[in-house]
Amino acid sequence: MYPRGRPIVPDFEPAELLFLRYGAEHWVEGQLHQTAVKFPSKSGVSVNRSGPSGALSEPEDVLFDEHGKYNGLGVVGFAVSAIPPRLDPDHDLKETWPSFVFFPRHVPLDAENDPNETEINYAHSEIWSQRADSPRMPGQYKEPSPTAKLRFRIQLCKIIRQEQICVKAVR
Amino acid sequence: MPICEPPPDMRPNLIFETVNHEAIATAYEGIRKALEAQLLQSAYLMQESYFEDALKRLATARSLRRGWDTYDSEAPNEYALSKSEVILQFLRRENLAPKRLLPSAEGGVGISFVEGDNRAELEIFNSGEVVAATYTSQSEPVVWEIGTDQSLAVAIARIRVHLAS
Repeated sequence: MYPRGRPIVPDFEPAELLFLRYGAEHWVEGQLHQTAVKFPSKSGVSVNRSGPSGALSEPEDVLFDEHGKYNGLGVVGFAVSAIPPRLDPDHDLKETWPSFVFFPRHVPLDAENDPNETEINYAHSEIWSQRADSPRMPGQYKEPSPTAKLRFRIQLCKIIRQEQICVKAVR
Repeated sequence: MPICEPPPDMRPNLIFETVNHEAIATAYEGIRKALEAQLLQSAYLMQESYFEDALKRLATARSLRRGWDTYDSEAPNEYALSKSEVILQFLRRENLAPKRLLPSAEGGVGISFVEGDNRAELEIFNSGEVVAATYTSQSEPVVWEIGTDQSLAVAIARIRVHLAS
C-alpha cells in the first residue's frame, strides 16, 4: 500500500477491478443502493484499483485500518468497464445540464511525502466526472448536478450485485 | 340429574410430558410456518412493517455524524430529515410503502421502492433538492427533479404506476 516512489499508472484496463467499501444497510434487495456512492464536491468517487493482474491491491486492503475502523464493512469489486462513460441530458425531460464524461484516475495517497495528506494508499483511485466538452486533465473535475449524479449512481449500482461482493458487510 | 364420578378405570388417561419426537416437531413446525406465512400475506401488516422500519431508520439517521459512512460524508441535515418525514406521511396516506429508507453518502436521505425488477428512488438532498427516479435492470433510469408538493404527488403516482407495471 506504500507508494515508495512508484509512479502513477494512468492507464486502466477495462477488466481491471475497482474496490468500494459499503455498509450492510446499503445492500437493498440484491444490489448496492446508490446512496452508498458519494461524489465529493472537489474530486471523484473514492475507490481502490486492483491494478493490472491484481498487482496493486486486494479487496481486503480497502478495509485496512490500524484501529479497526472498517471492521464489519463489506467490499464490492466492479470492472472499470462498468463505469457509465458518458451522461447526456434527456431533452424530452427538459434536462438542461451539460453532458458529462466519467473515467477512473489513479490518485495515490502518500502521507509520508504530502503534508496535506493523512492516508497512505498507493492503489487509491477516483472515478472522475468532467464536462464532456472539457479536456481530460486534473483540475477539470466538475461535480455533476444532483439529477445527473443520481442517474450515474443508479447506473453504476445496477451492475453491483451479489457476484460483485468480495467481502460481505455485516454492519 | 344424578351425577356420579366415573369409575377410576374409565377416567381419561391424560399424561402431560415434554416430548422430543421428530414427527411431532416436524408437524408442529409445518403448522407454525403456514400460520406465519398467512400472517405475512396480509398486505396491511406488511405495509405497516415497512413504514415502521422506515421511521426507525429515520430516527437512527438523526444521530449520524459527519463521516458516518467512512468516506467523510455529511450526515443528513434537518431539512432532509424533516422533508423525509413529510414524504413518509404522504406515502402512508397513499398506501405506498418504501422498501428501505437510508442515509445518503451524498448528504441527505434516500427512500427506495422495489417491486420485483421494478425499482424507484426518492432522494432528498441536504441542499434542498428532491430527485426521483424509476428504472429496471434492463432499462435506463428516468430521473427528474421534484419542486413542489404537487409535483411530489405526481412523482408518487408515477412511481406507483412504474412499480405495478
